[in-house]
Amino acid sequence: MNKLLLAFLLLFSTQVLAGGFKVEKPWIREAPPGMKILAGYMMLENEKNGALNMVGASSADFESIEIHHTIIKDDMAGMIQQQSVRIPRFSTVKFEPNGLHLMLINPRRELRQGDKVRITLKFSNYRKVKVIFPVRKRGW
Amino acid sequence: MKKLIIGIVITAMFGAGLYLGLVKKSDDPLQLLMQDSVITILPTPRALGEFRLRDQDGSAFDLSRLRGKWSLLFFGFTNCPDICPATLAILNQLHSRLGKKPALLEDVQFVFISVDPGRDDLVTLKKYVRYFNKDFIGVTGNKDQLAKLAKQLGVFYELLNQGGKKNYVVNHSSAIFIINKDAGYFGLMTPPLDAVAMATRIELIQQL
Repeated sequence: MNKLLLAFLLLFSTQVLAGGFKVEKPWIREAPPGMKILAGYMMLENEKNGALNMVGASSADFESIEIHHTIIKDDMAGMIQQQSVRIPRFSTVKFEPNGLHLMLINPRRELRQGDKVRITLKFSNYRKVKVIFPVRKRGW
Repeated sequence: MKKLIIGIVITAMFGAGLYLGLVKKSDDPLQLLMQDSVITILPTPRALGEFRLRDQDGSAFDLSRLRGKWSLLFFGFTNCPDICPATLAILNQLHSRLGKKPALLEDVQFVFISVDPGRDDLVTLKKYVRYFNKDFIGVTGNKDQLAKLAKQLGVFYELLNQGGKKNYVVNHSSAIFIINKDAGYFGLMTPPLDAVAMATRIELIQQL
């Protein structure tokens, strides 16, 4: 029975369906031991006929979460904090290495590959969505 | 149908031409690399001058440490959650690809240089680089010594730590700098980085 439950949880950890809105391939990059800042990635798919605005995220496993965008210009890499991320209708926004990411600040427990972290994504024009992010050494 | 066949023939001829072009050029690796999109090389390597940093074990990391091996240098900081671990993970993939021909790997060292010595002490640095690969070298130093090396490579970085914010961001170069066996600035590779493509270039430059 436990195995069945686990399989069920695993299935839903990679995809959250909420009425025309999907979170695909969420993951947190495993960091070296003791690191205070991690990054989370995912794909936000908006299949609705209207834009969505992600305005923040939170998790019991981190002190705070910010949305950042890595921008490389003339070889200079910088991170710029985003107050919100717009997902236009019928389109997908990717959070991926060297691009948009969730900046996960001050983990409350040591996270290793295989661990699961529950993160709540907040939208201005939508309800909150809870997503399970597996900790992985590399992306999907 | 005829059009399709003509299309296929033209494509095949074009492909063969490209192939022959590459093979012909590959007689001279330098010529091939000069026109490459993965690696940018200087017309002539530029000899580097003195600098004095420390590695993760507290030993001096100076100009002499850049002699005798090809060095791949990456500048960053450990509180960097996105581009630094992504780059180090790719460098680790490159390390294992080169490891398939141990003679290739033996002649290359991987160096992560933290430009954020205020937060990255040697203990933190050691834990950080060793996590990605036990052979990676972590290096840092005071502001002046870091600048001494960075300036010679044209590396930019800035610490956005005004106002005493603890989780400040550091803007830094995203390139991998290549130093030849004589401690000369040879060239660089810029994102998007790909371990397979990088490995073939590292193999080529070792033939020079």
